[in-house]
Amino acid sequence: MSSQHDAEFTEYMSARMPALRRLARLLCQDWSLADDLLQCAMTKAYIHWAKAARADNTDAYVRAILVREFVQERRSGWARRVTLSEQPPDARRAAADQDSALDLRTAVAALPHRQRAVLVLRYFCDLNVYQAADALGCTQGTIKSQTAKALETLRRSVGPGYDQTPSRGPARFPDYADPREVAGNV
Amino acid sequence: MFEQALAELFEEQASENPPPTQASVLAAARQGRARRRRRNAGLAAASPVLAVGAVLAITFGGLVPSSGYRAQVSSPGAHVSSPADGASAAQAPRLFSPLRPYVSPGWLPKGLSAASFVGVFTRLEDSYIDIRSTGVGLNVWSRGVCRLSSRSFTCGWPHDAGAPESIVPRPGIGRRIGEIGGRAAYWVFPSGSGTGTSPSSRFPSRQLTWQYAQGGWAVLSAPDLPDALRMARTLRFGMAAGPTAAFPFQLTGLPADWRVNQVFTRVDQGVRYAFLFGFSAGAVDTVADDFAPRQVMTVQTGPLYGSSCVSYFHHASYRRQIINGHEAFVLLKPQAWDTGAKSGLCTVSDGVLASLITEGQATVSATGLLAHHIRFLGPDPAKWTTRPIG
Repeated sequence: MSSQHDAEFTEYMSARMPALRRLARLLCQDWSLADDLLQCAMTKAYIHWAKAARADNTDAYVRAILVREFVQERRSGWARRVTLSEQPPDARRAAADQDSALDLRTAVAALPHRQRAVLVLRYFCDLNVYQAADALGCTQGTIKSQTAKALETLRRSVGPGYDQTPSRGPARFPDYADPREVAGNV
Repeated sequence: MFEQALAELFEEQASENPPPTQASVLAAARQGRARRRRRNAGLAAASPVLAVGAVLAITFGGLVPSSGYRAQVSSPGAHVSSPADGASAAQAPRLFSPLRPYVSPGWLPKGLSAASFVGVFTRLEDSYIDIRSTGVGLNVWSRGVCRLSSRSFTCGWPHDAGAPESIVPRPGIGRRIGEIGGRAAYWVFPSGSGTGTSPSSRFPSRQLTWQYAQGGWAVLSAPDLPDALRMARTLRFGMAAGPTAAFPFQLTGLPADWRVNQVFTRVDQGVRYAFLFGFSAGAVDTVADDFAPRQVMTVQTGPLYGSSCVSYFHHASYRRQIINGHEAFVLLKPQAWDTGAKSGLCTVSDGVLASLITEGQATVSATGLLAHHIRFLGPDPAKWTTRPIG
């Protein structure tokens, strides 16, 4: 890569890093994890910079790298399905039934990563279904279904306080966590 | 509107006053250049690891005291990371065995026991993760995975197929606080700890970082230095470092190129058992294997997951089917349950739930595995096996 491309990349990323970092923070729900994600995404953006710079919308291209990195990283680590609670899932659900007053923030943080990514793209980045599908590299139908599932999960988790839709069942909690997160990022 | 509340929450979170960033544009460019070079050169993924090992050997020539490392870590016997006696330096293993821990905890702070940790074993890394997030944890990497420079200490899998270049970027190597096993140890305050909202950040943990053998690094997270040092000095290293996990099932007749690449274990009623078990396939590529881009199958089982497949496949669509005498819940849309899944099923055998999920290039489906390749060993840990592949 030429020094001119290096300079373009550095200039672009320096300007866009705060916004990308905020987006990463919403995806990860944690600043330090967001920094790790952002670092990985920027590295990939550098590798594909020639294509990114030529894209009609470089912002959208780089955002797609970030979001896909988030989803891919969470997906590829099958270990993310591991339960790291001291209680089995059923017991946790039972406890949750008794305490349905989870706030929205907690419920969003507990969403599966792909669903959270969809919500962030739709309701923070204001992307329509087509644009969100393009960013995530999936079909529009997937975006619609993931959005519906995520909203339904949130409604169940926080109860009817935020919406007119009554809570129809127990809150669902993901049975997994990223062991590296729990391990203290080592 | 609910969506409005969601948008407001995101706005609120995005407008938080952020801590200083640890991400670096220049570092991204540097890492990107290195990856492009390797890709353009058509080098195998393992090559950078070997190169890193060579760099480490040069780097530590100036950093590490010349006193040697007592234990023969590549020997079958275990050793405690005791001070060196001047013996020649031993190399850390190039690879660990996922089926057998290379390191086991010794002394633990009050309130913690072996049952407090999930053990994660791969060929490149052994980890002990405290499930209560008290800030105590241990990661030990095989030779060549970690890099130390004057400005940073990083460990990672330098692979282009989706794995991050480095998962442990740290801004500095911290204060040198003495030696462990005759090698320099550093007390590091990791970036972001104590400031975020993740479980890892609840406790302002610090990290003791040292080279347990030539080219192999350990990172021990602990709230204070005396505890960290005591834990580090009583760790047991070697192929006989700890008991091999017990597996509540046995697999036979698997495709010849399938290999175990990761095992998760927990202690229950005094038995360390494997509850998650992963395979990769194809040509041996240690770097790729251990970040699972070529995962072909995972098996989850044990008391951790309860005994209800309906709960386990919550929200998923499935059909019930009797396979090899077991009632199986077979996923109709595996990718809807997990985007990486190719096929999947859940079954309960003698009250113990097991799920079989195939991914990637798996040539055997989950139903095929249940029908022909897996045998459950019942709920009694005494009947479980330490040889999961027959």
